[in-house]
Amino acid sequence: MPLTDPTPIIYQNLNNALDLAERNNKPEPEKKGLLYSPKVNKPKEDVDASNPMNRVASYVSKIRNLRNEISNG
Amino acid sequence: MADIPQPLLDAPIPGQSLTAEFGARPWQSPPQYATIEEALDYYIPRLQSDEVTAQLLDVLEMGIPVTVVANTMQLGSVMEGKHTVDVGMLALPVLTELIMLIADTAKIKYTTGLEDDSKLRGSLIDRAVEEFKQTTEPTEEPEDTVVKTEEQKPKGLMARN
Repeated sequence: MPLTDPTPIIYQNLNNALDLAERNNKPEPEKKGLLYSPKVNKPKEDVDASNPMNRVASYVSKIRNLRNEISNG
Repeated sequence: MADIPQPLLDAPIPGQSLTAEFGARPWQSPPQYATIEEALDYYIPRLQSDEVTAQLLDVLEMGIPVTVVANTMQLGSVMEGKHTVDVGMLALPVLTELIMLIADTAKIKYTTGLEDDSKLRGSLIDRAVEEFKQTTEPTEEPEDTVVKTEEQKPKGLMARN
């Protein structure tokens, strides 16, 4: 059967990418201890805004937040 | 009954795309909106208008999935030469979210089209149960065809007479 509606695939892939980005952006718990050597944290790479996929992801997450606000009252 | 693939009788005939002069179709000329932002600037005011919103909610209440509505919208715009197919693919998730936002705001129930396909429809389950019942119903057994064999007397060293 030919693929006539790519929307579910695109939407699902974007969801997965958003979930992954959210997991990666979580702050790491502070490590303390005698053997802990503080390293200089690398600055996180900024999201490449020139990539249209990233821009779309940001739009989708903004609209989703609005939706969540509405559905959660 | 298994789904038998049907021939696509309404498909275009080979060479049909060459029956019009190149560039005569809207999608063969440069698009009106080249970027995703331009395309969204075209879609969002349309989706926010009262007329379109009312029609959209009617369609969703009829049970048409959100993904199908979003895809139809972008495909129509591609055919009108508003934007390219690529921009249409980029606009799809945003359109889907926007439509769901409008439906949530109006507090109507809708189908997203992203539901798990493994869920079986109720009618399918009923049909399967009916078929199963038919196959397992006790049928009249033919007359006893089992031939009783004569009891064989045990033989052997330990046999009791």
